[in-house]
Amino acid sequence: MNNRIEVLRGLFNYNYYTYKLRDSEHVPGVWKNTALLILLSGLIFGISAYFGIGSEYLSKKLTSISREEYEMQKLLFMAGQTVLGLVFGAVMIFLPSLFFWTLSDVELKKFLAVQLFVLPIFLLEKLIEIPFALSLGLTQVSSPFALGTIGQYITDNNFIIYFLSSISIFKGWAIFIEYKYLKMLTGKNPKIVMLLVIGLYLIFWLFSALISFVQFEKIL
Amino acid sequence: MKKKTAILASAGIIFVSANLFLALKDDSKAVRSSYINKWTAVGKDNLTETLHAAGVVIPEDEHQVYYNDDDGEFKGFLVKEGDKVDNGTPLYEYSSNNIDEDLAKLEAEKSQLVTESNLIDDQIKQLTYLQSVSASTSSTSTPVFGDGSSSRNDSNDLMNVSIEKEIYDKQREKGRVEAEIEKYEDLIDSYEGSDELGKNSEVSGTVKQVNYELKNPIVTIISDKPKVEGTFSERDLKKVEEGMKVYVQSDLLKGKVAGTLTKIADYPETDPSVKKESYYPFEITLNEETEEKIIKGSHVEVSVITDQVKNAATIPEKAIEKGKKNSYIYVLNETGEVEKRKISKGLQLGGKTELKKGAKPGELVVQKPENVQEENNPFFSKLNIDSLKKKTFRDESKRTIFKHIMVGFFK
Repeated sequence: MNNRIEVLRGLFNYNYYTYKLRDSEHVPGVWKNTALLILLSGLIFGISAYFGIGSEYLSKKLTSISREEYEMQKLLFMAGQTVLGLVFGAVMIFLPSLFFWTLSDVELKKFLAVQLFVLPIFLLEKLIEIPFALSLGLTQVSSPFALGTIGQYITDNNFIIYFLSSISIFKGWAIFIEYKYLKMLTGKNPKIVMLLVIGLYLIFWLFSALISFVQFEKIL
Repeated sequence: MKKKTAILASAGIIFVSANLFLALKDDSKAVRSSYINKWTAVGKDNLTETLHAAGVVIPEDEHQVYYNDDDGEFKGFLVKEGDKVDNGTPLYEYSSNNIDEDLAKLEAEKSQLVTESNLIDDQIKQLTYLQSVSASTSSTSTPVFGDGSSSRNDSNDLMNVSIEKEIYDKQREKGRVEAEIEKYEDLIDSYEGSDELGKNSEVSGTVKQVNYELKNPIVTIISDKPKVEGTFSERDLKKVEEGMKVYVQSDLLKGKVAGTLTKIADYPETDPSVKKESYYPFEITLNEETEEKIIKGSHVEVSVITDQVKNAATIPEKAIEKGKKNSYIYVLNETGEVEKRKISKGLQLGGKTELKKGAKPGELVVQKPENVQEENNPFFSKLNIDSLKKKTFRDESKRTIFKHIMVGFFK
């Protein structure tokens, strides 16, 4: 157990783990944990989709198509979401790692290990949003942890609303963890690290807002 | 460090609370999707409001046959309990005492008349003899009077004429007597062989009771036609009226038997009392075609149709949200939103409510209004695995399926 990646310990006890990660030469269990977390991501997205969260666009078809067809489309939505979960998991682990790896001379595995602490935060957010959606109807756009609700009060622009709704407490937490680890790993100027991290996530949020904004069901 | 964590945690809690407040307050600008898993199409039904009561099948009529000692001596029953009888079937027989007496009287009168007729015969014979004698004396020895000739002849002729008249009268009398005799003979003949009299049934039906002790009524016949009898409670009374359609049901019957509520008593079956509820007897006439199927004496469940609406738009009662003044339903409309609609209710029955206004048959209505988060907001539903059919997948082209997955991916 010496140098194994312990995801939850790394997440909550980051002060201890940052040093451990920096000083260790080998980071065993990265690939296994990566694979497991990617699968977990797919599973959590699938569970969320099983409850229909995010499938409001299908609702208008309810009156025009048969129940069987309606349920089939929901199942296909769930399949799409599961794939999205897998892709999301993989992207969230590899993309930032590769990005920072190219900017530093630290081993890729160590960046991957950092992402293994960050991804669970996103997955936890996704998971916590499920009961809020089911019981209070607060889906992603009105999530109590994000800026989406406030966004709906200040603007009618859907793109801005989607963008704000992707900024949440959990994202802040993830950025904080990311920053802490990267600062220690790269030893770079904290301001630059912060800028890089925030810049990276801003791109993510803009991209996800764009995807939410574009109504693919009308394009495809 | 701990202070920092505390500040962050407090800030987080305040942020989440503020968000929740903004999202959940009335007229919130935040979109709230409703998680709706059960909906139902507005139905098209014939609603019938029924009132249930217990009843028992009894014969429609009970016909009693009485026997009177004066009629004659009882001989025996010709039917037994349970026999089917038709109109005209003999029920019992008796011999009449009076008839014997009558007969004897007639015989006596007849013989008296015969004697009389014989007597008249004798008289006629004597008269004819007298006539012949009178004729011979006039020809052989004619009495001669003083003046010589005709006076004796005249008196002789006069006598002949009177005898002739006498004979004629007697013959007439005889004819009358003989006619009388004939009448009596006819009367006697008519009684002949019918010294045992039968009593015939006047109705068709089944013999319910035969009283072998000859206490009246000695025979009770029940009609084949059944009716149903029962009682309504006071509370039921205001809902029912004579002429209402009725269905009768029991374990012994296949299906329902239709009938009509024909009679409701104005007065309760037992003496009214303040302490207990009054029950008012009612009668139901069953439709004719069902006569055979129904067993008399069986207990049945009576459903009186007190109100009926045909082709009504109906929804489950649970789907209605009761406001202070009005009632509402939530329609899942074609824009993918939950639409709140005011309704006016009609007949309510068995958990179903008639919609007079608000939705048309076929429209989808949320079954549990409490699941609706906010009106005019989108909704989503859990995947219903039971509703999935392989066929729908096979019918869909691979491209479309891929397209749907792609759309799901980008959501």
